[in-house]
Amino acid sequence: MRRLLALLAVGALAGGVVLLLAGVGAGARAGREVEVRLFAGRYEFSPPRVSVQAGDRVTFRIRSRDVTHGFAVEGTGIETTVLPGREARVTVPAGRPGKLRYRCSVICGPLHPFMVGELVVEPNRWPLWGGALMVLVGFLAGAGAARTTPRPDLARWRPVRWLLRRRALQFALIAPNLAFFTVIILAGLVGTATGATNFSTIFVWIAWWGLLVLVLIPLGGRLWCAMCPIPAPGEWLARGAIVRHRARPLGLGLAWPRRLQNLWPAFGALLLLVLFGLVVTTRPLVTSLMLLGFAVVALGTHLVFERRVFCRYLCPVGGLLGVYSMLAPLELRAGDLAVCRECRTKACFRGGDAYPCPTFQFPGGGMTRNTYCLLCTECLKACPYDNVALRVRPFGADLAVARGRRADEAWLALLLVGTALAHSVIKLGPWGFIKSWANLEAAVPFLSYTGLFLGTVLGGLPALSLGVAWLSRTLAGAREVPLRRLFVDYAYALLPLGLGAWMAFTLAVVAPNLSYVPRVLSDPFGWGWDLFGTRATTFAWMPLAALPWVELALLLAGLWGSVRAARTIVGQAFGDGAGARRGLLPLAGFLVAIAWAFAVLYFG
Amino acid sequence: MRRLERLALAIVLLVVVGIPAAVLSYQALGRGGRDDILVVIRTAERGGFSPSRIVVRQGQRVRLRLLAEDVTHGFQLLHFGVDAGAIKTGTIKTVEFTADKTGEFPFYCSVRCSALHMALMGTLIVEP
Repeated sequence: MRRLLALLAVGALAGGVVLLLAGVGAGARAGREVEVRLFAGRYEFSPPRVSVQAGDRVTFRIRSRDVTHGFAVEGTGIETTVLPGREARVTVPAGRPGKLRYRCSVICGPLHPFMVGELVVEPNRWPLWGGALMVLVGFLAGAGAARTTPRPDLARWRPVRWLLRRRALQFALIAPNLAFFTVIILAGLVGTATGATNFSTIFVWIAWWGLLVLVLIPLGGRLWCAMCPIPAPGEWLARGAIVRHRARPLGLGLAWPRRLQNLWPAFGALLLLVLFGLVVTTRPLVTSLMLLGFAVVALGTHLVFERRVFCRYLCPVGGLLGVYSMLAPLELRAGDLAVCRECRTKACFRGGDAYPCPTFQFPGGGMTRNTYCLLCTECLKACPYDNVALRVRPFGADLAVARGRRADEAWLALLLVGTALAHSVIKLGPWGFIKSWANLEAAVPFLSYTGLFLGTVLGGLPALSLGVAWLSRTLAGAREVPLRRLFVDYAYALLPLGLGAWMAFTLAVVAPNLSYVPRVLSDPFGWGWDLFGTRATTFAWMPLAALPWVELALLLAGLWGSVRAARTIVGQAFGDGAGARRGLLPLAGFLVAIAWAFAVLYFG
Repeated sequence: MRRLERLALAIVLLVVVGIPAAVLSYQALGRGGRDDILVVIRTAERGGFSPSRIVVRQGQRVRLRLLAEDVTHGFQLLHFGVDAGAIKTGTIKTVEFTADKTGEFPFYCSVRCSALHMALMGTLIVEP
């Protein structure tokens, strides 16, 4: 078995290198002059994909079907405007094999940021050697040995501890975000309906989402929850205090219904959010009303129920952050558990000199994973023994924790992978019809899209996952392990790859549209203001040609983490013997296949 | 602690009430001093030119700031030789002319912008 694996790994590596060399070597060939007639209409180029040979000079003759569009090739300076009734001509040299994405560069409607087309320069071997790399990474990650690393405690460091124990810390984090939130709501309600020039859509779906997925989640997990302004007004009212600690809260403090003490409400909310994702992210009014709705629900639930039930059970973003926070290299845990065992007050859970944990976690006892920790630092302030640690740790450490795995979290992990794939097709793909379907333009197409979307994320992917669990159990020869448990456990292995894919997707959406951020800073409402003189900013320096490389690296890193996690999880189910190694094979193959699907979509 | 609490409350109120108040009053008052006229252009389906009637005095030097709000539009006021060309979405073009004759003069969008593009027009009224 071992030798076979090694042989396969060497074969994959050799294949990858050969394909890599072939792909790079095919660059400089004297090519033909190619003419392509392209139609630009809301919101697609037709034909959506154009294939040429490396070395060709491609002249696009572009006509508009409706309003004014633009044509800009990502990663090059090539750009032109396509006025209705006039043919625009632009020549694009097709240099190296691979895929070039071109996009509309003149705002033409709500879906303008997703109006893209593809120029495939053959022979495009990116999906092939990308896939070979993925097989290779899968094998290496599956074979590598796990090691333990020290987890230094940041709270031991005096300035950090001083800061974390300030009562005003959380308010200081929330206040600036409350200001942004106010402008976002206002812009959506009274500003322009054009998403690309409204502070609301740009700041939420480009600036905030980009920072969240590319920086905050991978480095800090739920760090956003510590500074999120949405639940703040409700919490302040329920506590009867903004900064200080009041022993008697003003809210009713009822218990949250037992049947809803899980992530299924958040799962449902997230499902709705991603189903209507294309509408929500492009309409300022919808974005604002949704966020305002979150704040209102948070306000209501915080006044009626105890602690922060909105953040713990209801918030869709909280569900997403919860499962991905397990990957973060940062954890809040009890320092010395012996001290906690001696502790009489359990102030971290029950409250003491500070508020009790808002999400019902018990750092001194059961908390072994990041999932529900908001990093609000109340327990650090409450603990009379200074026994709460904020540790730096390896990425993905929580995935090895077998205790506490749950079906709701597993389904969130599956939903998020499926959504990353679906949104990559809808928003980054060149197919206009699926954009129109998802854009709620008519009932029947939207229903077909709904069927397709839900069928994929709730049907197809989970069914595949179940099949993988069954195959893995059969190969491992361990019929006594319940399939249900394997299905839940294996979903956790999807998390690193899911986050890697979300990062790749987010980068491809955010990077080409980043120049809208300074523009809406100067004119937040689309009223013709120019507060900072940046209303006409363009980012010509953005190195978009490097985008595929970064995307590939993110997918590979995610796959690496996923297969590592899969190894641990399979080991927990089947022990360390040959059975576990056989059991790993279907799961690792599944992960490689998903990563490959993303590679084909992004680079093929 | 009490002072900190009051300060926090003041900050919250300043943000939640102050920002909208500042924004709306800046839009309503702060821009009154300008002598140019902002014309927001939307498709006819979404309301057309805003304002669609512009009244000036004869002999006045008129400066129009033209903002295309939803898609790319154009602007032509041919009686005064004004043709702004294409105004890309979200951008502003400024045109300037002297209203040297009295009467009512139509202005149009000159870049196809919707099915009702031909209906996208407004009136300049020059009073003696």
